[in-house]
Amino acid sequence: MPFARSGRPGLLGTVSRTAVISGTPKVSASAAIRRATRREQEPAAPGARTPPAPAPPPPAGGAELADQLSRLADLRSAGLLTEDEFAAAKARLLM
Amino acid sequence: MKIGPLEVIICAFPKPTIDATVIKALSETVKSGAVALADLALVSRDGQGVVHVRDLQDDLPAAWSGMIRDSRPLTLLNDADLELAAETIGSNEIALVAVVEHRWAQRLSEEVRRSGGVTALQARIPQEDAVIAIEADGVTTS
Repeated sequence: MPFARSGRPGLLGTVSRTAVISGTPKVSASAAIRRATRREQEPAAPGARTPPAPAPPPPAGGAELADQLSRLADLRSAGLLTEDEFAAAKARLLM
Repeated sequence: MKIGPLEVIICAFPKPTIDATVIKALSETVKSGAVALADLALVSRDGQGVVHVRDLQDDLPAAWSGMIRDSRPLTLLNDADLELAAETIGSNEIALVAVVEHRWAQRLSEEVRRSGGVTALQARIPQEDAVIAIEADGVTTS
């Protein structure tokens, strides 16, 4: 029923985009995102506490790209991303 | 209307149908009363990769609709949520998108409030963090 659902606020919007950009596997949605980005990364060894690598974002169009860049900047301002993580994530977005 | 914490679960299957065992597992969890199914959609792709969405207002088998115990299912997932689910599957694959309400948490919080307390934190711990903590306690997981 896509029609009944359009115009609704939805549930995953903020969660999933944040997960995509920051790569933090803290929400179940990020698992879906990782799968969506086609398993490009090796799964982390169990027990290894690796710093969150930014997940490859889906291909972004102009407006979407700007939106993602702005969210990245927000994450950095909020202290959720280090400068290095920010730079890496931004480089991926602009690839 | 009081509502407990919501959680969205997307399960993707590398085939066009969902096994009865999966439906049964979800159904039994709902019947236990710990969670309620607030919304549910099945997102699939046909052989051409075209996305199809079915939800509880469509003619889903009774095994699905029987899981909604309230008067009517809610419409909480929007198109963007379903698109996200569609990105997790390829052609001839299906994804189950379930919005579960943690009723037990709502009941617990209610009683805590009634007795003058507050639920100061409710946090979902990522699986890898849980594994690290459990293994540090000398218990082998996996």
